Amino acid sequence: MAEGRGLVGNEQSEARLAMMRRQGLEPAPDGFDRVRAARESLFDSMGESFGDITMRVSRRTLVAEIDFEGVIGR
Amino acid sequence: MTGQPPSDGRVRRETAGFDLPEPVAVLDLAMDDGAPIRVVRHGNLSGPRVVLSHGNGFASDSYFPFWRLMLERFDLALFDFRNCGRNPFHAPDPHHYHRFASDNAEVHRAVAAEWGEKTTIGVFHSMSAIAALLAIVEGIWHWDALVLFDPPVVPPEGNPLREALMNGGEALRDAAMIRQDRFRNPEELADVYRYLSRFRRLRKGVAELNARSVLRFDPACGDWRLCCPGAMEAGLYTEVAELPIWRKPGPPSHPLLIVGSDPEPEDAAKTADCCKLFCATFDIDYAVLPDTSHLLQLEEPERCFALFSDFLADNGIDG
Repeated sequence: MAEGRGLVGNEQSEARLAMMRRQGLEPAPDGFDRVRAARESLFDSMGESFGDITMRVSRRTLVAEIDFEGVIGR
Repeated sequence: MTGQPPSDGRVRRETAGFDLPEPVAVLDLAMDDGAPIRVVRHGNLSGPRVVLSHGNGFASDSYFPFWRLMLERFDLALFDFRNCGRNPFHAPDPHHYHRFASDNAEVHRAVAAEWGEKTTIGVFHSMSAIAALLAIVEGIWHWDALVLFDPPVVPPEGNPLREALMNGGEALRDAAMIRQDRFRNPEELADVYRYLSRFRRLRKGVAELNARSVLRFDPACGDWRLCCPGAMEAGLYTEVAELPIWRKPGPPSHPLLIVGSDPEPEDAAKTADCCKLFCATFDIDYAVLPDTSHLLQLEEPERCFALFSDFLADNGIDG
């Protein structure tokens, strides 16, 4: 597993996490578990040979998979 | 900062694919304690009047995907509650439901005096719907008919739906208390909306529209700030439980429809079941929109408008 690929997703996820925390929002209790599962599933299924495509897909998947409690406004 | 702020500190006209029309007329009011409220008029001036307002954390322009469907047939009077949206900030207090209810009365009187008496339908979402309910349970009807979208009516003590709704309200309150209130640009806030999975049903462009509707450019700091600070938004989420609205609207009777969000999805808005129970308990006309959450007018504006239009027709109100 190329560690760098995970870091790309992690860094973006951290930025998202910070952004949402500034709104007073926290990830859903299973938010990180879902991210981890999505990442493992992605690399298991795609392997090492997809290079940039894998990285781009993984970034999108990681960001999309964190779920946050609550909303803004009612 | 991106983009050029307008002279009044708000972007009014073009909003991410939604082109807000220029108002036909503007009415600048001062409430009896001096709080300014601006009412804007759009649409068909010969049609019945629709008075429309917003939920907590939103502004009437946020609902443009919905009210634009009324422009051809209705004489629209849109207003934001004190300290919200297009209104200049007044004061942190009073900013509560009883004050909103009396502001409703002042707005109604001023609109009728300035733009004429006519058949008037109130169309309110969530917070503004609660302010309307607060009047009608006392038998005070400013409107010939009311259509209320997903008001967070809180069941009485002992009802299991109460705890779920209150827990949600407390979470909203706690988040709003520490919520970021300054943004580099509206896009920064729109990005937050886009990232919330519970906002996933919003129509494309609504995130940008709403961000621009609730932010005001601050020329002194060169950034954008919430028109209504989070700390003021916060108290309303739990205050609603203290209001005497879990009862049948008092006479005289007028057409009243409550449109609820879908209670079926796993992550359904906690308001959904409460609206349904409220209507069943007090024999109020109720409609539910499947596959919607609390922001149903911004998710399914055409279906919301169809329900509204059919309801008026059923009650002999032509538009």
